[in-house]
Amino acid sequence: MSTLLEIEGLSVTLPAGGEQRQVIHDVSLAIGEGEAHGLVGESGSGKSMTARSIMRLLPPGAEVQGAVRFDGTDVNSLDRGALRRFRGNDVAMIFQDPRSHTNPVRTIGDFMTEALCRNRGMGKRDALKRAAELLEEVFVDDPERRLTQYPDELSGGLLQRVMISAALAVEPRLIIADEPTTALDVTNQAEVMAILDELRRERGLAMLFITHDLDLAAAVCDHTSVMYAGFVVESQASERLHDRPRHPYSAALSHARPSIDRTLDRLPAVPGRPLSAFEAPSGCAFADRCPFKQTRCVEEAPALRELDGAMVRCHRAEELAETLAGSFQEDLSGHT
Amino acid sequence: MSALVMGRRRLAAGREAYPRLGVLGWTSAGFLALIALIAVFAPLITPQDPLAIDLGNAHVAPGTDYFLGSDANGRDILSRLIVGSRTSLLGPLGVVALAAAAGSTIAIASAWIGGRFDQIVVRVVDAWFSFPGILLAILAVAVFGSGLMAPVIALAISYIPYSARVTRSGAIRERRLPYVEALQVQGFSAWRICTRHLLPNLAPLIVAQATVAFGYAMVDLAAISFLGLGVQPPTPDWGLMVSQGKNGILQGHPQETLFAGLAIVLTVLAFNLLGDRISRVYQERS
Repeated sequence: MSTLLEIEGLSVTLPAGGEQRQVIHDVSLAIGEGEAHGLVGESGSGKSMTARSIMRLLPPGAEVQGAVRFDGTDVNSLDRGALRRFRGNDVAMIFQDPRSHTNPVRTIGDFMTEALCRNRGMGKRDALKRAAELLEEVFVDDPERRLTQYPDELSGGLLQRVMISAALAVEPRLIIADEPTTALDVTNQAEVMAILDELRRERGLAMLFITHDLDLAAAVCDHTSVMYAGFVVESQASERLHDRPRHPYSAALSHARPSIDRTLDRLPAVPGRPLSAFEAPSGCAFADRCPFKQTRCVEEAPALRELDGAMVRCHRAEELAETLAGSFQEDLSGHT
Repeated sequence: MSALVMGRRRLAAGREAYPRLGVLGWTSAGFLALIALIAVFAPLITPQDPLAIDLGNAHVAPGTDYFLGSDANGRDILSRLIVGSRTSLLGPLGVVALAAAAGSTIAIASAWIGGRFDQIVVRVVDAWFSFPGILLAILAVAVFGSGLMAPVIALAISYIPYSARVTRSGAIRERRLPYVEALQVQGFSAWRICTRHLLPNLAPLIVAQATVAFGYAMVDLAAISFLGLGVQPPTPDWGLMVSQGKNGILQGHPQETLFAGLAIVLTVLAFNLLGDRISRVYQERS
């Protein structure tokens, strides 16, 4: 499997209050052709910033270090025209809130055909026909009528399905899905996710799937990276991440999920407050909330290193291996 | 007018079947449509020749022969008002069309590029406000000669900052909406996003501002005509008629100044009311 997208040592700083603050710290990840890669973390952990770095959509004043390579080409070296072709033809993005990401005064038909006409050079009539076919693929009833409607006439779930089919319309090679189901009703979430997953597999597209739901990422992605405060703290194959988390934060995240097998009075939460990316301290970013913290964790920042085929950023990963895989819950509750 | 229709369609398309212009808004729109029709068909509907001098019938009071009376040269005031509506509407139309086109271009470019460029534009526009429109128009007449062209262009230049400031505030807000980012991600050019998405969405705001500006431009151009620097006699023009009738007032024949003034006041009022309603509908939408 050849590598389609490769992020290497990506660091991003944003201007804030007269100085540059680092929001992404040395992030590296690779996505193979047709592979799905999950990016999991709390709000403000740098997931979306990472996605924006791929699309070169960072706010003005942002400084980027490291490389983002798509199919061997550094995205940051593209000139204006090449960047437009890259955005238009190679990558498609699906956003969290479909309603705010559509122009409210354009019809669904306008929205779906604009990319086909501009980036694929199709005529308006052909593009409309293609759009109707695509809508049928995502199980939208009466697609011809939908094409004449405005975004606010569609429900959130329906609109998100339209967004998915529009994203697939230009036949990209990589989809970046930024929490595509978060803004939807629970009843719609599973359906939309299933459609996205199925279409992606059918077409052999690579996907970067951003979510804060570790289990969801594990279910749809081959490989999952966990981000915390701008760092990738752990990265490994999804099923292994689920069964054998290597980082205390990933383990805590999986335990914070309700499970049908467990009966609890109260769901466990990760103690403390999530750190936003730009307040990362000198030691390990998770140290403050970690039940396994030692002096070393506070003083020295751990590096991302390999352990049994996984990448982990924790000083104590080896000694904690068994604990994290097993009865983590007691340790966590004993700590608070 | 077609810009107005377009703006209405966009509004209607986005939220509701009819924009809430209200009774006053629709009355104003209807009145202005009527004036526009009169201007278009002026030569066909004048009861008398607006240029025919008949000194024997000077200063005739309004009545059956002369519906609104006659002026000092015995010309029919109603016919002159009807024909005069052409220059009186065309002038302000030219002013707001030029000013809105230039102002919106500056505003959208400034909002799109942002950063230092935007700040420079804002300062330049601020300084631009200090250009006295009428004085600039008088200067233009002095340099290029009297007529409609020179004052219209001069006034348009002095109206640009008003259009630019209002449109920029809307464009900045629109620029930050997530759908713009979604368009960028689809690889569309800045030109396309600005002209095909931002501009149509800002159209109601631009039209509202232009409508109000139309009234001001009309008054300014009337003032220039009044000073004898705009449209030249014997071509009828409302501003010029106010000026020409002023001697008649002292002689007890106020009809020319009165009716020409009334035509200006009613038209300006209608434009202001309509502009106000459009901008309110736009604000309700966003």
